[in-house]
Amino acid sequence: MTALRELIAEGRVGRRLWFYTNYHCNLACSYCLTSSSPRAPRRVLGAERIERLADEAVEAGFTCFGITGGEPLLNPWLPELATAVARRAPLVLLTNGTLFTRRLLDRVAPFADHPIEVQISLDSADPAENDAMRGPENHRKVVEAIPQLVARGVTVRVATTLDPDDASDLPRLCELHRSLGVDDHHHIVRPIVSRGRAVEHGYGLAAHQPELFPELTLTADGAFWSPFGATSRDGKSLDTELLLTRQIEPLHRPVDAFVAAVSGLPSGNDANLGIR
Amino acid sequence: MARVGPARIRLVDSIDAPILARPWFATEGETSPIIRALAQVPELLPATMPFLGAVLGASAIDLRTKELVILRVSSVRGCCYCVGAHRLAAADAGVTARESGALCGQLPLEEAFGEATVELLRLVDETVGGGDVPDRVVAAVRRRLGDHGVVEVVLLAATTLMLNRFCTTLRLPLTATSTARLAELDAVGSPV
Repeated sequence: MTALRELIAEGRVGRRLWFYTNYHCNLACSYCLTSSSPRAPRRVLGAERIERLADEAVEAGFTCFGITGGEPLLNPWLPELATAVARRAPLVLLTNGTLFTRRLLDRVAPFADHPIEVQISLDSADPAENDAMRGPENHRKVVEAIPQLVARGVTVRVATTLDPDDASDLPRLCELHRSLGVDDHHHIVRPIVSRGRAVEHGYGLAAHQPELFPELTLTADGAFWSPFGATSRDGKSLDTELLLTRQIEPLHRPVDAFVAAVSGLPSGNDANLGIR
Repeated sequence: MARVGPARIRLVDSIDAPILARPWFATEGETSPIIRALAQVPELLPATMPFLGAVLGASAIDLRTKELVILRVSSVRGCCYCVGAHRLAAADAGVTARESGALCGQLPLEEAFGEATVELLRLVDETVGGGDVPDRVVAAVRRRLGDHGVVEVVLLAATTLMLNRFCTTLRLPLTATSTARLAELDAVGSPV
């Protein structure tokens, strides 16, 4: 695992280890990398397994974690898992932000006492435009949820996925997220990546291994080069070109493959899409 | 033998080849279906391919002898894929059409091979047949090839059996190139 520490120190790989908790989602966004939807096979990576892997990850040299999906909060155990993971190292939790009932808000309130950032997707200041990509009522639910989280002391990041050729809505969107209590440092703008359902709709930038910064990503299907690699074309068949190993436990198996894959790159190679 | 193709699993195309599987994918021509199947579990390739190379490839035993063993096992165990692929490899290693036919049961081994090779092939038959292997069968080959020769032949036969079952169960198809070459080989003349 020493090699991994060196690669992290040199900035050649990400210091964050990503977990895909599941692949199903209450939404079916038109550009979804993983072709997630309510009907997508769940492919759940269980809480106990994630905790075991998180222990190994800290020992291996990872210094922060990411949880994504699918919609992670569809798993009833997710709030407790998130705090358990964040006791080991800082965590960013990606969510579509549409499931925050009063009960769930209470359950995630302890996030305020841990190094957890909740990253919520919001693509446009205009509800119709946002919802056209992400589904009915998405904008309303997100705009209602963010201030509720902020009021509970939870750190919120807003992630905007944009067509890189059309950023005209961005100033209005920034006004909106500020008004919701999220400052500019917690607003992430990234391009649509042409993988998963985005391919079906002809959206986004091509992203292959050279364009994707290496961040080890664990899923129920195996370990991947990047969180942008664990994708699916139709919600069922897995994209395999960024697959590292099927085995994810013990963690040194995918880590060894990850290190070998990175070490095989020519010196000076760097991802250029800026979608870390 | 079981019918050929289509494969029972998705064979990984070169465009979908996992990162660590890429070195085994052909830059020109067709990639072996065995590699395309193993690429489903990419971490198997760095372990499996050097092993198969060491057991099936050039070694202290000459390639012609090794191809006799592989083709014999594959024929006895009824693996369409391996028989097809190794009829070609055997021909490349100097095995004649008549010898190939004998290995595939089209004429008695004694009519195509000398005593030493027949003894070798008896050991191969016993190795992959299941159950205990008679002392005299092992001893005959041991006298000619030594302990190390017996080890290589038995491991080669057993490894071929493993591949036979892998290819047959997954119903791996021959590549188009191999199929075309086999047609050419058969057009040259009947093996017997």
